Amino acid sequence: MPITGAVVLLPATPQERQAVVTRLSRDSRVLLGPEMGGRLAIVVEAPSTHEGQELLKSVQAMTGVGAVLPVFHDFSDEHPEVEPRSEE
Amino acid sequence: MDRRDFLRQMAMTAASAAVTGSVEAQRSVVPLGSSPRDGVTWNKAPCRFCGTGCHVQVGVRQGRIVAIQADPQAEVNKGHLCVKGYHVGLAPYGPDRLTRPLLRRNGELVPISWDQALDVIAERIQRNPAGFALYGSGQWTIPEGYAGTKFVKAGLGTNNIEANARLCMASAVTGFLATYGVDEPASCFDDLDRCDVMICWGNNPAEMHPVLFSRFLDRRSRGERTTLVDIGTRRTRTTGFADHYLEFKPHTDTAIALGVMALLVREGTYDRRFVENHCAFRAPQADSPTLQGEAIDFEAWKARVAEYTPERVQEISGVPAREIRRLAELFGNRDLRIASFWCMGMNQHTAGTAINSLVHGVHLLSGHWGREGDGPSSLTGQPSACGTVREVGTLVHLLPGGTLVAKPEHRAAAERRWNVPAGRISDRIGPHTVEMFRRFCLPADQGGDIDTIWVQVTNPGQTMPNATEYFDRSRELEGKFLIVSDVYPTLTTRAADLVLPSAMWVEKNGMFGNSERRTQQWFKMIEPPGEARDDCWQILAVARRLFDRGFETMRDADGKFLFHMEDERGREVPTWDFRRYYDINVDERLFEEYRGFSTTKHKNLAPYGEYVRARGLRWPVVETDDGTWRETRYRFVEGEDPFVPQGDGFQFYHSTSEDDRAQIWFHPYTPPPEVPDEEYPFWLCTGRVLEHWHSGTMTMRIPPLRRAMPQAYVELHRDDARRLGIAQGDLVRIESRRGHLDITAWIDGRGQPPRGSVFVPFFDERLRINLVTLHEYDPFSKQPDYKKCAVRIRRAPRGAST
Repeated sequence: MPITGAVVLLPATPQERQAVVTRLSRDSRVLLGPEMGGRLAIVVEAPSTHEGQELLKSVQAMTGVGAVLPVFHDFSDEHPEVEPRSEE
Repeated sequence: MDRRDFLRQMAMTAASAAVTGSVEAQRSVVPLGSSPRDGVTWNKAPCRFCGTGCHVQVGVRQGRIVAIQADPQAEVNKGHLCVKGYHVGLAPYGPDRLTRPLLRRNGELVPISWDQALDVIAERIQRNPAGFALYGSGQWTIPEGYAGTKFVKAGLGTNNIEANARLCMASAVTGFLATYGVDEPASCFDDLDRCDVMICWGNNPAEMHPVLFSRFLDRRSRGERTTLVDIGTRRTRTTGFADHYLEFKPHTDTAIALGVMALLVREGTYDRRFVENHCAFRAPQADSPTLQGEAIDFEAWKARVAEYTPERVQEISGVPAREIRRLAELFGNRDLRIASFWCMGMNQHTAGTAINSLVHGVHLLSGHWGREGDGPSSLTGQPSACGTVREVGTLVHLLPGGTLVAKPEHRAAAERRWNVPAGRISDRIGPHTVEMFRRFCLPADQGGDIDTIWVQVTNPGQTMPNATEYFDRSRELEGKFLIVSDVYPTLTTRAADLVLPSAMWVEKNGMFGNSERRTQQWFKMIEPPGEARDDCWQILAVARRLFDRGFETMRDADGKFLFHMEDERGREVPTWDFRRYYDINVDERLFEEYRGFSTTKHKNLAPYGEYVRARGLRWPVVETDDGTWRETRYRFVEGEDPFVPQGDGFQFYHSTSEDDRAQIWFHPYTPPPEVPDEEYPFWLCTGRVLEHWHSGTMTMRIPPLRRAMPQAYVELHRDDARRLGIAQGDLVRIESRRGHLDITAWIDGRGQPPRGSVFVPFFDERLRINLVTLHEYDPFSKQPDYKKCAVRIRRAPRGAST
């Protein structure tokens, strides 16, 4: 299961900021870290890189979120296709 | 603690370090080297993708990349990544890596040995050296580009070397040259942390340079007041964050810049002192204009810009006069710090040199120049468009370090440094990219004097404009031979006569140079698959094969091999033998040789070892009295640039007017070469998307990115769609005078073009929009205009498919 560390640039308004934090705190795939200066550290454990990315995209789409910036990605448990196809 | 707990902790430590920015937190992030706890070895590298130059830490276990971490010590990305950088560790692991040399026989590509491949190339070159061209890219590492330049210019005695950076940033180069007399931005990314106003001139950093954009946005999250002005031809993700959006008719950005300058003068809000002390004025000559132009005085310049009143600019550009006034008011306020950024929108433009020069001029005229957060900067799309193409000089008119083929003293200096006989470097400038491929696509008796092109690390089969005439046609001609080195099959390898499998990114040593003059270094971390080999080795091996076959100009003046290298004991190392290639650090040898060129134009570089230690250094890098090496954030600025004497404040020491002044240009607004008409009533704009990088060769093989954006599309306005009976997801035919493409409609999509405009990204090789685009180019930079041509659109005929 891939592990992702990310930083969320939180909304400027307190209500929107709280909504983002609440939403993330209710998601069992997300571990919340420190918040400072409008930035929140999170760790995401999703069954696949794809699902993790979809989760980050949904956070990005929340009102007022400036950006979701990945900082760490361990995909050692995920095995992308490795068998070579014919070359030409 | 089990392994997952450990990984979880690492992820949280990295995120926390990025949040708090504290030195203690950054120190607790996994250090470079081996981690005994999970057997992962970490090392640093710049990201493989764009020109931002983010640093990552690459985790390798048992010869395979297993993790990627943003480098908390990297000044560029400050511990952050974008979605592409986050997945960069998967880039080498697509299922169809090229692993053996392939030669076309009877129409099929069949495996051959490297030995045979080298012979094939050597024979082609020996048959007609003048008809051979090397075509690379801004993804060449610095040593690769340097080897390519030396091979062609000193070894073959021609200047037939180009790079795809001609297609993406050549107009930025000519803008810098015309304004300051020397290439590359004077300012740097630090502006993003300090500016009050960020102006995006036709670019979309929210998608194309997301890490840089987040540096600016991050300040809003911290409660700072900042203003974003988005000047564009369609609404993008960047527009969503903008305080002011100025939508202009394609090609009319020159009028906007002229309008701002006219108002600054009329209102008396320009910076008179800065202009009087540090600027001169230029305009293109009436006949046969050159990049140097002609000097004019302030009054003459003022009279020419005066006609660009807000009302006239509104008429030309469609931007309301009040918005032009507001932009001029911002520039007229010197209490603000204003940073302008641009990318392909200003560069891929038949008036690219003009608009680049004019935006510099707006900043110079208003005095928004040379302070932190206060200046103009171009962004590049490739990781080493600056470091390799512009600085090493992998273009037909350049020699290393920004020196010029056209200058006899520069040729002589290069010949001395390369120890080749006087006169070896040709004074004939070769054909620029579009012209090179035009000649490759013509029969020899019709001017088609380029018969062999060796392509490395780029994909012209997908990216050349008007691709039928400027790429495909060559495949129908006898006697034309296309060699392609790449890591994955592409449209270019599929058309090739000879395919060479290449090592990529951390499968080899490398150095890149990013958009803010930052030179970066990394070491090889994993083995390339099969028989894939370094591009640099490929160049050295072909040079040696020619040497062995008696090709005299592969010898230096002492009769030694042009790329002669010795070990510490003075013994020659046969670097052309791949088994021995890593006996020494070839990158270091080539870089140290190249470094000698860097002082002529004050682009001084530090020794290789300094880059091993650093997360990149911005040139000029000079040695200080205590023996340490100091980088430069702001050029031409006293106290920042080591070449500006104390007391001068600013000094443009490469001034084309030879009086230490920068040039403020007048370029008139000129119409584009093709405009919509009754037959072809729409504008077509092409570009990129967040998930994919350029022609998609790597990112389309990273499953999460491919799933996130599986295919290209055409964005169009809902009113146009309704009028034409096109629904969401319908197949649409886009047709220009050059070709057509059937592609799926996306209405109210990620980007929103205005009525009468459509947008298509170019990443998808199955949907080659460059069959449709225009090959016309800027007269100075020779950069083609991919951003606008006239097309018609309709629902695709029944039976059509993407």
